[in-house]
Amino acid sequence: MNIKKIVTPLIFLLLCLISVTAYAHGVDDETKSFLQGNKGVAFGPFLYIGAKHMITGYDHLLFLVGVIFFLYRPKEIILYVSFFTIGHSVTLLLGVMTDIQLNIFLIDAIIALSIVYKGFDNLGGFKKFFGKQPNTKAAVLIFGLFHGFGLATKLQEFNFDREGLFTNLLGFNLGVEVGQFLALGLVLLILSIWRRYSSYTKFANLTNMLLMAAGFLLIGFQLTGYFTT
Amino acid sequence: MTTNEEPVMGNKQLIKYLIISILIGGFVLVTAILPAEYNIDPLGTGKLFGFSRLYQDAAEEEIGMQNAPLKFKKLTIEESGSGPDVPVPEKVNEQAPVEQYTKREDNNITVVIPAGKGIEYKFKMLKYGSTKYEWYTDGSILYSDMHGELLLATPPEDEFFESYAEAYSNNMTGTLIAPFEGILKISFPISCL
Repeated sequence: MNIKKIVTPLIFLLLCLISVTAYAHGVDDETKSFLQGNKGVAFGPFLYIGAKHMITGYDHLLFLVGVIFFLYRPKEIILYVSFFTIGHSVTLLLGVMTDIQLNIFLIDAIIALSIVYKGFDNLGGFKKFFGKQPNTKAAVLIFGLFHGFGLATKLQEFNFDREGLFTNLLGFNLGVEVGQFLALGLVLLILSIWRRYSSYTKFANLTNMLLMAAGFLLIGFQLTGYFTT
Repeated sequence: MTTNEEPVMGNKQLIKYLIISILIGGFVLVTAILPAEYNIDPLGTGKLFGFSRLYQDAAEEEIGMQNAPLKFKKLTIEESGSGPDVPVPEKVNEQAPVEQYTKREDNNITVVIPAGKGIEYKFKMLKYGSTKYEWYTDGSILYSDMHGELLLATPPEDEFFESYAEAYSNNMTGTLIAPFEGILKISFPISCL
């Protein structure tokens, strides 16, 4: 029965990964044409785009998986996710309202770095190498700021109409939180089922190593994009 | 995070994990992602497994898009001009002037219309003045609305205007005789493509 104990959660995890990879990150054609053609206030559509972006945004989700991997108490999970939410909301609103546009490849590379960081942190790497673990709450907040700049830059690439901008932006931001809530719910469900099996702790190191691998992969992907385009 | 269940590992093992993660990430990047996304194929794996075809397919799709039937929002007579609720100003019925503006020849300009932005090219005309025009784009199809407005000192909020031609095109030409004195605008609002 031991095999079943290991295989079941792994299948769960795989299914989760497949559903995520089925989408390409970024904004699809339909959304793109909507954004470019839209005029004025469109709270609902922007909310939907925000939610969709988050649910299909594997880089944001991988980081959150890393963040909540060793969090058990709901209170702690809410606290850390709130820090992330505050971080990305601040830079998303600030970035779009003040027209700050960073290089999308570089900002996405930093977002990928946040995944590597979290995986390394979960492995206890900072304590081991530097004798001290950076404040985890501060780290989530700071990387949240970068995630927000990523969202802002992606949204601004479309040069959409600036009429009703703030309302639309609030819609997008709220959508991001809705998407994050939905995706996080699914991740938490899978993790909490997996936690009941001994394979969770057994594979904890492996999972976090794979998280780092995904982070390194995304860094390479984004940096290649930066240097080739 | 302060849980006791965090795994404890030695320095060596940690470095091992770090290196393995870089290797896995790098391996997938070089063998699959780079060929498929950027058509960079240093090991030939993109060609071997067919990942490179994804890049080519994506490139072909873009060309194919241009030949695909174009879908535009239907233009209707209801949306042409300022609508029946807007009063027609008295000035429309003024007498035409005896002399028109002097004729101008070879009046060519090139304007850049940024993606997702609109632009208007305006010229002043007297009543019954005639303008022969031609415009074309570098290929892409734009929504254009040639319309005229009166030149009023204090224009009302719902300003009267007439649309003379609304179309999706990359080229138009014709002659327009202004029905009243005012500003003729050939405008290219945000494309609905």
